[in-house]
Amino acid sequence: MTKLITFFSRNNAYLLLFFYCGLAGVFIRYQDTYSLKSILSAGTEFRAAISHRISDVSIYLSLGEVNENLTRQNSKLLADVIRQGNTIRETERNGQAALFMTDSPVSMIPARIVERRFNTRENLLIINAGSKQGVEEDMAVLTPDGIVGRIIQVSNNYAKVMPVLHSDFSVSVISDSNKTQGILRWNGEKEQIAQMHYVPLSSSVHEKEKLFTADFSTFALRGIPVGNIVEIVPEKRFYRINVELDVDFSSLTHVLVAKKSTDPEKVGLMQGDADEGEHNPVESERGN
Amino acid sequence: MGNNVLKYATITIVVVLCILQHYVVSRFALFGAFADVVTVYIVFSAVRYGQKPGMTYGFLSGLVTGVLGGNLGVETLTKTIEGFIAGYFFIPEGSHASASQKKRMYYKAALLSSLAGRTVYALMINVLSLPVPWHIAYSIGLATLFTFTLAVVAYQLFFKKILLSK
Repeated sequence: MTKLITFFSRNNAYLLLFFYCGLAGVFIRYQDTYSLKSILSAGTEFRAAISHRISDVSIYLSLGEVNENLTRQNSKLLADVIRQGNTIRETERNGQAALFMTDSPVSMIPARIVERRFNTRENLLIINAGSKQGVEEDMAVLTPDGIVGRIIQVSNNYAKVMPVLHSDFSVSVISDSNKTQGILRWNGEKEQIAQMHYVPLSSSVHEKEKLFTADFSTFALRGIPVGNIVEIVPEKRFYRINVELDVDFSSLTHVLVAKKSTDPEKVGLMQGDADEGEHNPVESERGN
Repeated sequence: MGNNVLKYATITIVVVLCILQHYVVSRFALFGAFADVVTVYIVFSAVRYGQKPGMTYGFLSGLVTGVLGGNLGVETLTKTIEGFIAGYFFIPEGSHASASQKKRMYYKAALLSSLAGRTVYALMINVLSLPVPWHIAYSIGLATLFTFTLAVVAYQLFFKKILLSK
């Protein structure tokens, strides 16, 4: 016993290190549990509240630029409304209006980016809309230009967004003219360039083709613009495809949050399939 | 100054520095790397008060930065290790070490702690998905260099008098 006490008193710095490292290990292991998540969510709320005040000042100073962006976005939206109106009219004429009726109505939650971090230790956005405004985890974040990211944590008034420019982000995409499908990920090399994966060599795909989010996605609505194909390199089994992203992350100020209302039966079925298929898009999205 | 007052003062400084680090210092990033003012203070605490207080302040600051940043486990682990390593360079009260020896000990503590901390962090997190050589260069090399430079500046401005008066 005396030896044990002597051992502890001589090595107590190591024991303390072991104790603290053990606690840190517990935090790492159980970081997804409800209790730790609620602590981190409170931290996010505090952090975002301060960032909100700081960003208020900088936003006030750059109101001119923001107005210019809003005008540009409005004009683009107006153009889209006109184009879609024409399409609907054309479709009705062809008796295929039912195609559009299958999509549920989409409600968007507008939000402002109050904090943005792109450095080697953190890579995220924080927006000023949270559970009180109807934001939930796994909602898609977008602008009229294209997809921005995915909600990964929500507090009462704020939410954390994992942007497309994150090593863990992935989304199912489809090309507009050839309907080629794949998974979009970012490899961390160039800010504006992401990669489309799992496109077999037998697929038909061309440069300058536009990519949109696909219906397979578990979080993103179908048809959100993603980017344009800028480079196609054939490799052993698949193409290596570089995609220029539509969203300019350096000048993002306002975003929209959209919820995808997927039939739970379909999600369950797709998850079941994902367990069996190596390159199933759902698995790839959920796996991260 | 009583021991308890000193403890509470140090804890307050640690919390303030964590907030300062989060909102001010981390905004001055170059290639994604930035100096860590919290590490510098943990090193100073460990050199001045010893290994166990250094580790405790490290753990505490890890909790604060972890809650603010969202990486609770990694931050607490990193900062605890930084405090532990810096504690090996503890300068006891009434030490007969010369001024230059004390300075060297503080600098060694700052360099090794920062290097160890950044290495542990880089091993666990690569959010920008940088290729390994760049990840090592930016997240470890450059970040350690910035933190060490900040430690040198802090020594000349604030810590020199305190450490030499021991």
